[in-house]
Amino acid sequence: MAVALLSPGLGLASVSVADAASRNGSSYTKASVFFWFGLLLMFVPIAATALARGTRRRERLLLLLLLGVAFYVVKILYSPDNFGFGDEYIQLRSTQDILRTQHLFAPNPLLPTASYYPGLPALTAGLMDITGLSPFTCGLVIIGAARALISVSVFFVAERVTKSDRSAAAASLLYAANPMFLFWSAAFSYEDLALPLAAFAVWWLGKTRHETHRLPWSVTAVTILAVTVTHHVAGLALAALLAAWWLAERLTVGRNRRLPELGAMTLLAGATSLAWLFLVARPAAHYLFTDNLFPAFRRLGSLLSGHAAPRKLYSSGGYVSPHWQTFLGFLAVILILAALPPALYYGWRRPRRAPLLVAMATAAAYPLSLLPRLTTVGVAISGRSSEYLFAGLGCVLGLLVITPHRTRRRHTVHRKRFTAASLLTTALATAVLTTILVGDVTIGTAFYQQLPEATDPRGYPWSLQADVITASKWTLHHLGNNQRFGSDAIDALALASYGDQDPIPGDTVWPIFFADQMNESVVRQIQRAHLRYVLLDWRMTKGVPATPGYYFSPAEPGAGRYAKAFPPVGLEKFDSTNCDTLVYSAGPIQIFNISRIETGSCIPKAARSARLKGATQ
Amino acid sequence: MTHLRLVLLSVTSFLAATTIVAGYLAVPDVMRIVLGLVLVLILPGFMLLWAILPEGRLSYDERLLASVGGSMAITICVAVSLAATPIGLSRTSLSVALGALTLALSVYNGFRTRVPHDT
Repeated sequence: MAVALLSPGLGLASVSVADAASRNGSSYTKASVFFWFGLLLMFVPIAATALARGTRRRERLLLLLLLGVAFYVVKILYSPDNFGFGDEYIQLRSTQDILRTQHLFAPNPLLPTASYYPGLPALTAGLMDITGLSPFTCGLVIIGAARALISVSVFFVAERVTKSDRSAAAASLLYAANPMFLFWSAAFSYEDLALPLAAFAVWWLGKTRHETHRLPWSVTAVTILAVTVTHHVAGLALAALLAAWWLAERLTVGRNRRLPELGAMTLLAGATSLAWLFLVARPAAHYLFTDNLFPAFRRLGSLLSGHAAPRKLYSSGGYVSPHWQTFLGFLAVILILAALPPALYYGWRRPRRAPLLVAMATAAAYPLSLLPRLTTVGVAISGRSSEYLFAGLGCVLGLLVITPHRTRRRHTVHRKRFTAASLLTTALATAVLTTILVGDVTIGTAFYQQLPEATDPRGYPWSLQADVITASKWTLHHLGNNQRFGSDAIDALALASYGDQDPIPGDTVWPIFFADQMNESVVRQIQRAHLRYVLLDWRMTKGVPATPGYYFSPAEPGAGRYAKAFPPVGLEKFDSTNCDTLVYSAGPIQIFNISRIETGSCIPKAARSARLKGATQ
Repeated sequence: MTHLRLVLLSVTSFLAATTIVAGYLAVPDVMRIVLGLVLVLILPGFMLLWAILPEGRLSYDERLLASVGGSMAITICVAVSLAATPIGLSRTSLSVALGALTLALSVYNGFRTRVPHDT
């Protein structure tokens, strides 16, 4: 137990060495040794102790909480001074808007849907107001609390489903091994608050639904409302899970005294989620269905019908993962798929209880969730679904830890043999879970993103750079806020958050940047988009974009399959006309004022000569 | 009413009242941070649990989990509601709303525990 309690500290020290080495420019091969060693040092002792037969329930709970928090600290070490992931800047912008206006629904130029789900930004803004802490610190505190909430909630829910704290430990460990848990689920993002709240609501409902009075339902109702206003998919998933629970109970137990209350909570979750989605958060439906789900299903359909080739796994932006990561990624999936049928069988043989049936149905959906991963547009859906499915998967696979024992206990006379079998089960389960953890981390995060980018990267960076943040802050102080900016997708994050500017969408901006000359078409596009400033990052001309695989938008030519860097002529054109004014220049960052083109008071030479030619013809 | 419960109620009421006052006055940063974190992440849920569940129904770890989860859910709903109304979400409005809610629950709990049939 003492080793398990100490190991996360040592593991985190090793991870911080890896992060520091990576920032200083060490190669991935060298730095990642410390990263993986640290991760194993955190996971293996905790898993072995939490799965051991003799460990007490409260000790298991403490260890799993410790693991969840330690994994959260891995993400903090990755980006200790500032937000590091793209989605975090979206929430930062919404938070700043609420702080500035004190009201909701200010347009978010990075993701319009985000401002219609104000749970996380409102909570962060409120905490900032009351404590006076920075948005980054408040974000860390809130997501840290959410991480503790989900670590404990998953254990409690799994314990109620499996009726065993040992199985619950296995379920929690498997949940912590899901591809998104280490980095994605630890980000300052709305789903990472909504999902823990949803897990809490499910546990609370199961815990208190047999109380004689109805007051505990108020906590469930408040939590359902909080989830609804925080994240679209989490709200809908909670409603779907409650509906499945109600249905399973109706089928297994029949009508009982507590069924109407469960039905009422299901209705509340369903009605509020759908009403918010279609009546309040209107852009969300388009974002969810038209932009994400439908294209993914269309591409999946093409793939299954043989009209499209599958995506090449473990490669992006010219990077190819180390072979051992590819191998372990596949092995992790194979292990889960191999364990699933016997686990479902054991589950089916146990007394039919609604929560277990719901967990089994969720787990059975796992193989299907892997299919969209084979398409370019379906990767995100497949990855994010694991955050939900692994809860059910954990409950069902967790049964395997106890089921063989029960069978064996009946037939084994010798105590020694029983203890040996128990030790073997613990060792085997720890080995399998560790393999799944390592494999799933490689599935969820591209290898070069497992460690922070070098402070002075060569080529085109995949993370936000300090000089862009400085430039963005400069724009706020010297140009005022809400100016319409054109820039590449990564730098737009800093402009929208630190600069409080309004970067125009990538789909609109890429034709302006890709043109060789400031011709009439570009001028028309600038005027249509009311573009007043452009931020040029000359590092674009030094390398291809690794993640997300494009400079501006997935619609630009060459997105996802770049072999050559962005042509310098695309940026040089802004400096070749007397209609632009250079207002900021520091290192590779330049900002041009193009408002005279936007207003039509100045026409660039190339556009003018095209107009004259058109007039003479 | 047990001595512990009396102490807890008094402390909670004091913290909630202090947070309301801190919304209007300049107080030291450390005090503001501690009060704010406790008010947003623990107190409302803790008081609500006390009001709705008889003692002994939850273990300590379950009560802590429910206090944090309940508090976060309550604060989200209160913050979003304030921001959706003309009042707006500000330091004063949120600290008054959360502090008043916690105080009201404390008073209710104090009243409830003094009634003989409520055990």
